Amino acid sequence: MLYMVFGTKTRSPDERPEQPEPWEGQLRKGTLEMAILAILWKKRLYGLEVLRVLESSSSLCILEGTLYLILNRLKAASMVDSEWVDAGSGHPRKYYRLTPAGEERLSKMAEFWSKFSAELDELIGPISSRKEFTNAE
Amino acid sequence: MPSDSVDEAIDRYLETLRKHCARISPVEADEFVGEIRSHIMDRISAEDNPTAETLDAILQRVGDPKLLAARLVAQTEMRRAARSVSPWTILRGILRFATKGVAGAVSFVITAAAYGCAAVCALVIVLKPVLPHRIGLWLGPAHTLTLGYWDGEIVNSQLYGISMRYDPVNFVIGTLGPASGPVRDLAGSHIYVIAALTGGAFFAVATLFGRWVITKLSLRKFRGSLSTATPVNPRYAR
Repeated sequence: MLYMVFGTKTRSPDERPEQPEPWEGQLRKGTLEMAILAILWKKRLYGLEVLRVLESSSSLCILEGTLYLILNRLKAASMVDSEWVDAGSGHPRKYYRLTPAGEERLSKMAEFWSKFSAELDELIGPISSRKEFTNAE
Repeated sequence: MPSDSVDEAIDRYLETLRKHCARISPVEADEFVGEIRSHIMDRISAEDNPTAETLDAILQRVGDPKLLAARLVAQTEMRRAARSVSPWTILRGILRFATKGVAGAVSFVITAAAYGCAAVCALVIVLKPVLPHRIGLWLGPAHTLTLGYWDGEIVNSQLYGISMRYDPVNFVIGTLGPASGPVRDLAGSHIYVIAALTGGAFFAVATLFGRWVITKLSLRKFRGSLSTATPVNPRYAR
């Protein structure tokens, strides 16, 4: 039986990459929806483009099919809108864009995230500086 | 790998996906399958000469079609249930969680009980014209208040329906057991209004509570499923 975790390539059990800790997964999951909405900010992208940005600009990797489930759910919640476009690639692609409700939700999320992460940075600041000090020694 | 074999492998994968989406509307299923097809085609076209292994890896990265379909179906059904007024749809929606956790099980019991009370009220309205002296709002022995059916006995009388007793405090859908003493009808012809209002209130509470539970629990479940390790079957590229 082969397994795939976080969209990494499937490997044999011996080669299987180290799996993320449960707490790490929880942190990532909580931010996934916001990351996808942020990728679509002022842009119209299709699924694979969203996935590529997600993989290149963050460590948020998911099973590729799961992305479409999330987009499906965001669409049902009127956060994104979609349309099929035949862009000459030989097959149609479904493009997504944020709706005004999605933009509003993302703005609120971003505002909350900035405040939240700043507070957390302050909390973990002493830990990070202590680590740097230890490394310098 | 010949392009025919690539197409066949993709078709096999998509057929499995489509087959397991049978419980949602064909439009929704086609939309999802079409999008996955487009995604796979994009991945394939990025390869110079796709081999069986390449295709295998692409399909595995997309995920097991049965699990993808199961998640899509669950997601769609939950969404439908969260907007539904049908007791059956709502109860079936909560039942998915009832087997997986205490919160789901407790919510299912509460919602089912509220719908049960609404059903009793509906039965009272339907049966009152048929059994005018047996259906009512009864004050029975041992301070038992029952909206429903009285068997007509004074000794060891039985009252069935929504029953409440003050000492000790009891609330049941059914009967609190036989008791002896006078039984008095408190509502008379007003029983229709009382049953309609009570039933409507129970129905509204059950519907709103059920929808709320589904929305809350499905969101939690959906987020929990995003990074779950997914067993995949490589046979679709073979």
